[in-house]
Amino acid sequence: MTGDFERFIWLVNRLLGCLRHPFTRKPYMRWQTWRHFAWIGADSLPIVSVIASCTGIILALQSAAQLEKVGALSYVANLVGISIVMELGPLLTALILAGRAGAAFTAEIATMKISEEIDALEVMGLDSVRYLVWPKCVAMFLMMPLLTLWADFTGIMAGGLFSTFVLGLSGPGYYEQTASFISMRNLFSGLIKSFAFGLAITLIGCWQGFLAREGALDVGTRTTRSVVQSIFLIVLLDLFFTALTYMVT
Amino acid sequence: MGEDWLTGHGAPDVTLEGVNAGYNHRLILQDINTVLPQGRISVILGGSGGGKSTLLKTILGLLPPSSGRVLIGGEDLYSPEGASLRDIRRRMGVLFQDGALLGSLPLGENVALPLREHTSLDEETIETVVALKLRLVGLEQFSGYFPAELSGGMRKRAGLARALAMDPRILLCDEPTSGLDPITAADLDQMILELKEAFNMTVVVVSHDMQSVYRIADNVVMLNKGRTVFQGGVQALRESADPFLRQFLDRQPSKRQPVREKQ
Repeated sequence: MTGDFERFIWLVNRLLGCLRHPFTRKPYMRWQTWRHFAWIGADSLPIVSVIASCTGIILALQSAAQLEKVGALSYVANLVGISIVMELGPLLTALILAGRAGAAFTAEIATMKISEEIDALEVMGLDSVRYLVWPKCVAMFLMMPLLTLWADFTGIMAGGLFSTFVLGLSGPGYYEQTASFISMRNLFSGLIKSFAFGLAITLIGCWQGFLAREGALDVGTRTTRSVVQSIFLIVLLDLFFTALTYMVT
Repeated sequence: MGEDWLTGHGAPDVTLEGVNAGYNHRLILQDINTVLPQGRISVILGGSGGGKSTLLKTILGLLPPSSGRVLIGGEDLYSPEGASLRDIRRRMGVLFQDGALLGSLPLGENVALPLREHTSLDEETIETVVALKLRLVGLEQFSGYFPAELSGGMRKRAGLARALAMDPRILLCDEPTSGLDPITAADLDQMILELKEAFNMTVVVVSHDMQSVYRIADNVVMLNKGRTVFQGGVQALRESADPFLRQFLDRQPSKRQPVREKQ
């Protein structure tokens, strides 16, 4: 257990070392970074879109059912908008990426560790953290907020379409109300969360990968742990940032 | 010897002085004192779990000893002063057990990786060097193949080509012939012999393949339970009367309870 924690400190320390020279012209690292941009960002778009749209519709449906009782159906837009932007957009995107990217980070690094590819990089004089973890960090750091913004957009759009065509609310009115109710502060609050979630997913995913020792079984075990720990940490961070937001305001 | 070998001339020797090393407070290597001479092939021999791979990791700079020193050409591998670990590693080539090629890159890119990262050679020169190294191991037509598309023997040869990419002064091989058919194993042995002759490299091979040891070794270090039990030439090894050595070399079974039919 102590060894595992030491490994985490080692990983964070090496990543901080990467901050001294964050950009590189080395082709392998550039290729790795682009690969992760595409894989984390573009390839996650369909699943993020579907989940965010469904969530927007569910929120509109649930809130309409309650608000209708008190004659406040027009507030569906406010409820859907604020829930998605401040909470569900960043949270759901992070959970999707924990299962998708975090698990893949762990499996990739664990397999490379077991097949001695990481040792090979080190003995070639190449920093394995800089080569394998840093590109993932950079890609996640940029893609996570962008995906969150996309999730916010699709969730609100889907909730609006549902409210217009099923609940009979005015479409333009719905979007105007959303735009006027959601402030930039709300939007940034969600984006700050998404940065933290992205960092947590990358750190946990890569750390668990480096902890793998031997055999295919360990790759599976580490991958499972990575996803579970990431989800746990995401929820804790969400609680922390939400509490912080309300304490500040 | 100084740092001559680091700048490209001569081959270094590897000296281990009172090395103790292990994992998580479990000591594997105990008081290892040996010199692996320059320009020779030294084979680290021993049974499974005897500490061979741990010793190799210590020489590679992957496992710092809990006490003792590892000197490569007189440079303390783990000392914060003097030549850095990274500089020393650049002059080392390592052939891992299964090649340890990066699965996401084709063969040619695997060989080119250290050249791209450590040199400022132009693309044309890198391509020429890669072709040359792959030709050396007989894989020039497989440059575009991914490691998963190659056989075990080809992966090992490709690993050797990558190990040679930076013209190392010291070549370390982890069980190069394990899992190979006799002809491929003999080819690889021959390749290691030719490399030593042609480039005057210090070669360290970890093995328990006795045929291979007899064919290539100039110097043998035998480990048993993490301790050195023999150091010397192949002839002295053959003639040794040490009971453990005799059992190992004559492939005698250990004393254990025989398997009985269920009553």
